[in-house]
Amino acid sequence: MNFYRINLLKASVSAGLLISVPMHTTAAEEAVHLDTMTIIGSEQELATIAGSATRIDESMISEFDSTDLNDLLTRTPGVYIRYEDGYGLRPNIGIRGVTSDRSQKITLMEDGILISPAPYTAPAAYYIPNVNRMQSVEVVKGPAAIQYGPHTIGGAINMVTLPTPYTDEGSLDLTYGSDNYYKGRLQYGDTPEALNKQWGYHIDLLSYGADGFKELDNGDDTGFARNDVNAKLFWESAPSAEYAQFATLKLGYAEETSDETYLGLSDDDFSANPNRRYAASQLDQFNSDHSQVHFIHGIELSSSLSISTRIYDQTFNRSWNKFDGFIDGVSAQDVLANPDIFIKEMSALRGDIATSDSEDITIDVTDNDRTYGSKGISLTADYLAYTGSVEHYLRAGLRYHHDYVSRHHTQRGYFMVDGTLEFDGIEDREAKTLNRAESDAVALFLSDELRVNDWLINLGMRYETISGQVKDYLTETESDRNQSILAPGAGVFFQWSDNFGLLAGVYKGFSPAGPASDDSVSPEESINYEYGARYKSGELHAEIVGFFSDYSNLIGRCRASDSGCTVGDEFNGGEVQVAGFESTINHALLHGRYRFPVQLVYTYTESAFQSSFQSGFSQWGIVDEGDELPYLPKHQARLSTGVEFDRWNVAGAIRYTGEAREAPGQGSYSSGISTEAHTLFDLSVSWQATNAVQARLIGENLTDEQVIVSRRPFGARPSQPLTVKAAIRWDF
Amino acid sequence: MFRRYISLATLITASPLLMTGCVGSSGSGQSESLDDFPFTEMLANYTDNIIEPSYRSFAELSQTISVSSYCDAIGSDGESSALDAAQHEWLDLMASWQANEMMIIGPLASSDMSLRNRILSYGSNFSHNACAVDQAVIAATEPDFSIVTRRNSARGLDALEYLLFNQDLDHSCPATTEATQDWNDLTDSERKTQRCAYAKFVSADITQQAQTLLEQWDAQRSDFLNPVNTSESLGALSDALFYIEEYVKDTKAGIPTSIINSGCDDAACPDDVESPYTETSFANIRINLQTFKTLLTGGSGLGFDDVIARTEFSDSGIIENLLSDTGAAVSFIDSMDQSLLDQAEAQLLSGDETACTNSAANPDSGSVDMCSLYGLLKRITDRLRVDFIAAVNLDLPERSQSDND
Repeated sequence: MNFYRINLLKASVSAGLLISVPMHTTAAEEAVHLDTMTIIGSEQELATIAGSATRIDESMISEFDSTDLNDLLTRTPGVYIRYEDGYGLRPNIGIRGVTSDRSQKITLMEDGILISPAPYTAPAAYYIPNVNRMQSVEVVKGPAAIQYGPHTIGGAINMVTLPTPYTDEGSLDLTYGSDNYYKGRLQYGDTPEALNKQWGYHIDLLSYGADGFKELDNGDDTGFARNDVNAKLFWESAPSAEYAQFATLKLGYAEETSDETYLGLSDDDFSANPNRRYAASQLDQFNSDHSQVHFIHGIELSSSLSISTRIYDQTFNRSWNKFDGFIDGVSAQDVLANPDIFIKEMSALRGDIATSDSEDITIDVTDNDRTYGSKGISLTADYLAYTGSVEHYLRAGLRYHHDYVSRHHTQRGYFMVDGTLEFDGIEDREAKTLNRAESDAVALFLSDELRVNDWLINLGMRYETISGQVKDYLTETESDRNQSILAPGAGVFFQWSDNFGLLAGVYKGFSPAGPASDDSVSPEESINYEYGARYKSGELHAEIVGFFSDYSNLIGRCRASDSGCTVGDEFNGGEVQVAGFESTINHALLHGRYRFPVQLVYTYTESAFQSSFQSGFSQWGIVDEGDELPYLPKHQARLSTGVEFDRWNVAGAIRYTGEAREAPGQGSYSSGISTEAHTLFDLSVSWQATNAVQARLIGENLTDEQVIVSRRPFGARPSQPLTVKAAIRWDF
Repeated sequence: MFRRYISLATLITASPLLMTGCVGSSGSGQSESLDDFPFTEMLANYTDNIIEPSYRSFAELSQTISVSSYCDAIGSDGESSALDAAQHEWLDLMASWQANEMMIIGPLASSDMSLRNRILSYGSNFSHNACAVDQAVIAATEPDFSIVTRRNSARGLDALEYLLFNQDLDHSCPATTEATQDWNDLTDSERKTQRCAYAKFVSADITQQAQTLLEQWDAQRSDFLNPVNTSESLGALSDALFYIEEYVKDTKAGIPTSIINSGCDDAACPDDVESPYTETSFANIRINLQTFKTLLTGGSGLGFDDVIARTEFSDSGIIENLLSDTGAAVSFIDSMDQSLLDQAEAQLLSGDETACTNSAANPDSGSVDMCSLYGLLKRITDRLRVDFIAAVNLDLPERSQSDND
């Protein structure tokens, strides 16, 4: 972790390779306390890091007024997105081939603190902080990722909150758009003179929502509303203190109500109207609240030693009442895959028939009610030392973490009557799932970043020991599982010339098996390699990195939305190889007062199961050796360009996602079990009316192209249609 | 580590494009495997294009049989033509049902085939009994009569055949049967009228059972097609094919010819012939065979032939041979000019089974047609039991495992 003292410390001793950022500056854009926790550090560090890393900064976030992390991460090579609801309420993010399914195989952090509801016990990320209130988003891949477990195979994403400002300042954002989309954000902070500039605070209020672009058969809304309240209290020691220190207390609360569903459409119905939502999903609603307390402390014990501490406690409650198929009937997935065969069931979904007299069709609406908790403490020590001409930047980290999930999934049956779901009157159906799972984990990492001449070598090691328990109250059984893993890694960066550098790295990746899995399921492990080059000259910055992940065992994890398995069950996928390369080219052309920035991000990926087997995991099923992984497009690209002049900024982006399989396979892509390639065009025009007021007009998916982004869990679901937003921002 | 798809040299090469690992492209040739075979589509073809239409056709025909017209015409000038019309309609109805006999699946197979036996009891533990029908005829004159109280031996198509085609108006019961003591004293007209009145009960009951079949099949259709039940559904279809063995070969052909011993120790057993009053047993078998061919191939849609085409047996000619053997049996039936009942009665009179045994063993040169047909049927079922079962990797149906060949 790098907080400001470390940057200072490193800068003071590293022969100018690193650029320090003073604690307080007078420049308006830097008049902040660096009290938040980045994992990359400065832009200069980014250019010389011994591994792949990307930072999305505040200007990129505001360019399209992003509230959807999915959209934003298309700027990052090696990151795979599976769209779901069109608003990014629960993103599906994968990195370098790990499954994107509910972002469960990446390490998600806010200010360096694990932020998924239960990253060890139930890593599916049903909560992610909203990116709109972030200062930046950092993506780390390769050997550097082993510092940020527990899921290190793909990499880590750290969302960095706005720092406490040094002087009083704030902003008000108001946005209105298609489908009554609205967003209001007010943030304000100060470090009052009256408190000797030692105490500061920051408050961030965010509310956004929409009526939704989908059209329920009964005319009801399909939208959402989300509110975030975050407050930060900052303290730093007096300049005269023997040991420089800072402390930040962060309190956060977020709530969401969304009429979201897992039910999609048959392909034919999708062709007729991709935004249709069947009547059978009319009761579907997701409700959640998330609260968090983060405490971060840093102390500089000497000019070469500093220690940071993070303590966190988070709870997340969610209730998702949603269509879950037919009670004792054909699975909804099979119905939607064969609408011409399961005609009665399709008619029930659409509300076209009355099912009250037909006992063989009862619609299952299940409330997946869960409570998550996550808390822990971590210590990180940074030490700078020298052996001859070799600089060692040593880091040691220790974390104790506990998390849990309690699941209570209750089922109710409904008949379809005149297009309306009517309760079948059976109150005492047994719960589908009633269990509690928890994990305790101790993680230790050590790293040594060596600098000698033009070489930067990073050696690291991560050790985790995890103890998990599951109590199933339905079967009245208990089980536990203990895992330990030692994962070493090494990366190297060679500054070939002032403009050109080479990097390479190898490390052992790891993703623990959940506590509910039996001993036959091995933890997910891989040996990961990366190798590439960076070039930077003036406005031109290019990077290309090849990667190869050699899994000894890939794990598939059953979620409530998967058919034919129990929630939390895990399945071995055996040996799998994923390889590809990712590239980024940034450039800007200058012509008089005009500046034309250009960015191209491209990722190429191949994957292959290394054995043939039949899996009980519905996403895999029958697998043949050589089959490619599902939901992993071979080609992804984003090209953006624009023009900046005077008070205007025009930015356009083209996002391309290649076709992807929805089930393991090879050769040509089969209709019905693959998603089509699609290209989306976005445009943003902003006008800085005054120094304090900025207006922005944003169009996303300008050609209004809607494609099937996924047929899981239940049928085809669309990408977001053309969306237009108008925004105004007042800085004060 | 890199054993299959990527080399270390590839990893460290400086060329950006070559930096990409060439991951996997081999595989096991899945295009010709059953991995992606559309079993649900295949089962839907059987359900929606073969089974349900056949059941529905029977149900519709059962509503048109004009027993009432015949009853009204008894004693009038139109009696003969009315009876003739009803008889023709029965023949059509029976022909329709004989196709369904090859589709004893789901509601027809459940509960020891009780629904099937209510529609046609031939071959069951309570198969047609003429005396039981006669007793039911008398009981039906009571005002509170309900046919559901009668055993299957007095119901269904077999009973209706007896009531419409049996020329003998005397009862068929032993002299000791109390219920029929006074029957033979009734006038011909009274006996025709009472039998016809009961025939209306039987006809209405068949219609009701046919409707029940349609409703139950409709209710079970989704379960049959449900991909999680594919294995069971394929097994049920396969079991249905084995009607050709247990019922067609053994019961319809084997028992009357005395090749199969079912308790009749005579040289032949004409009393066990199906449809004895219309002498249409061979016609029934012919329809069974034609339907068998349809079920093998799934008609014009996906069928077992398409499954086998995706297996290692794709070049073995299993389906072609089965179709050929079935065609040979059909042609042989077409070439015969004596009914099964006549042939069985002739063999019974002769008291000699030797020629029959030889004909069954060498059907191409046999001298007893009904026994040669048995031999031809056995060719089909032998191939079905061995080649077909191996190719589609299904278990032998329970009821055929104790075959007494």
